[in-house]
Formats: sequence, C-alpha cells, structure tokens
Amino acid sequence: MPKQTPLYDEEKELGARFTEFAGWELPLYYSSIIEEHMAVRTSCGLFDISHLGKISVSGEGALAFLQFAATNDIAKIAVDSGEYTLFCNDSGGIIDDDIIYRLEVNDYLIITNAASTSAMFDWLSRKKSGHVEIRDLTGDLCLLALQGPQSPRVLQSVFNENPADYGHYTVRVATALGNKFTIVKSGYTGEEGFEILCGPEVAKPAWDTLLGHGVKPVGLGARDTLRLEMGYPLYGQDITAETNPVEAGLVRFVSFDKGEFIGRTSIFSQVERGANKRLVGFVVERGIPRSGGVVLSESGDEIGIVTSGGYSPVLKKGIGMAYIKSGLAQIGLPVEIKAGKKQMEGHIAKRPFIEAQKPKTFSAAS
Amino acid sequence: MTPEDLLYNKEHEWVKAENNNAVIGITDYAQDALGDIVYVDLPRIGQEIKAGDAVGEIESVKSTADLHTPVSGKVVEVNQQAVDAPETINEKPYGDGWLFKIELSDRSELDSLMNSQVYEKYTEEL
Repeated sequence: MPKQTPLYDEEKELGARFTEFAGWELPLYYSSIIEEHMAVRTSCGLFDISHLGKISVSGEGALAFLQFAATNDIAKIAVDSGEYTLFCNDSGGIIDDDIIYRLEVNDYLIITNAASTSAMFDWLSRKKSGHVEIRDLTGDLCLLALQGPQSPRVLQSVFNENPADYGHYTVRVATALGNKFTIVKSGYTGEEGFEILCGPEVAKPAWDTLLGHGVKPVGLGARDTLRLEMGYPLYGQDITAETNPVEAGLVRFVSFDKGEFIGRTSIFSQVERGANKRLVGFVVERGIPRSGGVVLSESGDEIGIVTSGGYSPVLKKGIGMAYIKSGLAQIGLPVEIKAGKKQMEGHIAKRPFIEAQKPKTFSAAS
Repeated sequence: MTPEDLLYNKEHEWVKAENNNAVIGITDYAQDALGDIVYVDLPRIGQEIKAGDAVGEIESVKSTADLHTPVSGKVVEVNQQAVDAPETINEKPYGDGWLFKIELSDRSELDSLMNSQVYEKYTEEL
C-alpha cells in the first residue's frame, strides 16, 4: 500500500486525481495540469509536498559531520537560514540534492527527495561520526508549498508575516491559526514562494485557510512542468548516482576550499579532466519529448540521451533536458530527438526556458 | 453522456458512419484519462489504414497514447482544428474535437464495434 499524506482526505474531497510516486499516493492534478501551472506563474498555488523527506541532523558534531557529508560549504549557513547542496558518494556520483536548513546552532533539517529519503537516512547514519543524532521526521511533519507572484500577499494575510523579512532560504517561526509554523523562503517553481512546515494536525486548518484565500491547489503534474520550464534538474532523472556535479553543471554547489568531504577527490579530478557529457536544455518544434529519447545531431549521429521531457504551458512547446557530448553542448545547436519511429526537430536552448524570475522587492502594504 | 449514434472500440475511439465514410475521434473517457491534450499526430490524407493499426499519437502533458483506427479505409480528411488547438479534443471529444475521416473499405467492420450501451458498460468495468 502506498503511503498517504495527512491531507489525503482533503485532496480527495477537492477531486484530486492521484498517482503513485516514490511509494506515496499523491495528487497528480485537481482540475488540469496546465491550469494549475498557469495559476502558479500568474497568481498563487498550494502544493502538499509532505512526501518530501525531512531528516534531522543535530548535536555538537552536526556541523562538522555535514561539512564532511555534503558538497557545499555548510559552515556558511547561518541560524535561521538554508542552502542547496549535493551529497555525493566517493566516486562523485550524486546521492541526492537537498536543501539544508539550520534551525538552531546544532540543529539542521535536510529536506530530501521523496525517493531518496530512506537511502539518505541510511547513508547519513552509516557515515556519521562524533556527537550527532540523525532522525527521520518525514512522518511527523507536513510540508506545504505556497508558490506564485501572489504568495507574499497570501503569506501576509494568513500568517501575518512580513514577506520583506524573508531572503533566500530564510527560516522563520510564525504563530497563526493558534499554532506555530516554520516558514522558509524556498520552492521548485521559479516563482516567489514559501514552504510551510508543521505538524499533521495543524496542516489541515492551514490548507483550508490558504485555499480560502483564493489559492489554487496544485498537484505533482504541474510541479514537474514548473520545474522543467525553469530547467531545474530532478533527482532520479537528470541527476543520479551515475552522474556527477561537473556533468550536471552543479559545480557551483561544491566547495573545494572548505576542507575534506566525501567525493572531493573524485569531483576535483572530474573538474580537471572535464566532463564527457553535459546536461543541457532543448526545445522541439513539434511533439512532446519524453525521457529516454535519443538526441541526434543534424547528421544523424547519436550525441545524447533525454533525461526529462514534457510540455511547457508558457512556451506551448515540448521542452526537455538531455546529457549530450560536452563538445557539442552549445546553445542553438540543431538536434533531433528520436523516440521510437518518430523524430522531433529542435535545438539546444538556454535554461531557464522562460524568462527567469526577476528579483522583486516586497511591499509590506500589498 | 455517451452519444447513441456512434460506435466504439476498446481503445476508446469512436466511429460515426455516414454512407461510405466514417468520422473517427476519441471518447470522453479517453480524453478524461489523458488529461490536458497538447499535441496530436494524425494520419496523412490519402493514407490507407487498417482496423486496429496505430495511425497517430495523442500527447497529453503527462503521457503519450497511440491513436488507432477502429475501421479500415483511406483517409480523406483530417481535423486541422484538433491539430492547431488540441484542447478542443478535451472540450468536445464527440464534436469539434473529431480527428479524421476515412472512406470505408469494409463496412462489415462496423458490426464488430460496440454500441453506446455496451461501451458504457465496458468503461464502468475498467
């Protein structure tokens, strides 16, 4: 039996179509993936992402341990803040990509990909040393994502929080609806957004209240099209234990000057050697590319493989990401995507596929 | 409601036979299962197609489905509106969202298709 989040009944009541993902039964969409996608791009949407893993790493040795386990410089994360990082194995293969929040001096919370949670928990538990306690809090906490240009206004109305108090990955504790919520500025959509962490009993009133403010419930379908339009890699597809940070274009999240960490030697030599393949974005003229498609050059040579593909509701075109031979990874290069008998003409395109979110200043009065 | 003047196959395509021609589309059940349809690939005008063949593709945001023809014949018309605005198939699967028209080569194939009542029963049991 797949797991259900504490909001399952509420979602069913809203008419959600469910799908199984990473051992969870989750809403794929409520009304239409395209409608939900556009609501997040133009207004505000609410996702139940309680399936994401929540692993607590605490104790006096927490920072030293995370510095050794993660690729990014964890020491630069101040209390009440967070950072994106990779975790890699000794060969430099990516085990997971996560956001780490520092809730207290010696108390970190890692938000993992749902499919990676148990592997990450086991790996961290195996690697840990010193005074460190690792706990899997996934079932104890709900996570909601409020995303879209109207999300600051909704945050203010519902949680009485000033959006201007939030920078990138800021963590704040808000009291609202008679309860405490941990709110972080984060998301996977490319829009302004916040993620709200709370206990299961508190999640229901928060969900209902947020929806009562004109926010549209959004399922996993649009979560995928939104991240794809931004060109964000998805763990398990675009990045895996078989790909390394150099190939994936994620070296900026690897800190070589922080000291020793797992995978450092391998990743460093990959940087020096250069990657054989690179993750790129592409757009096709007709049709919808899907993962597993083969990338061909104009002359018909196989030059790569599609790892994510789908439809961009903003561009109204098929888009995707692929690993292609690094010498050929140039924006504008014409390619063909082959899937079975059909072939789609396209070209390598810059990511994000749509105009990136512009830095916005918040108005407390909005 | 499943229109009573159409015939259906198990792949959730419908046929509307008129004299020696037949119009073909996908059912409401099919469009609902696919979700937002964003791309269709239809057979070419003049193409000879055989009942049961995959003759095109329908792509929704989340998945790809083969389009079959429930009856054999020669393609005489394709619905450009469905190509240009695939959401029409979601909105009016039995009307403006029709897909292609063929000149039937074997009218007896119609006898093996389901009527609306049988098709409804079939979908209820899925």
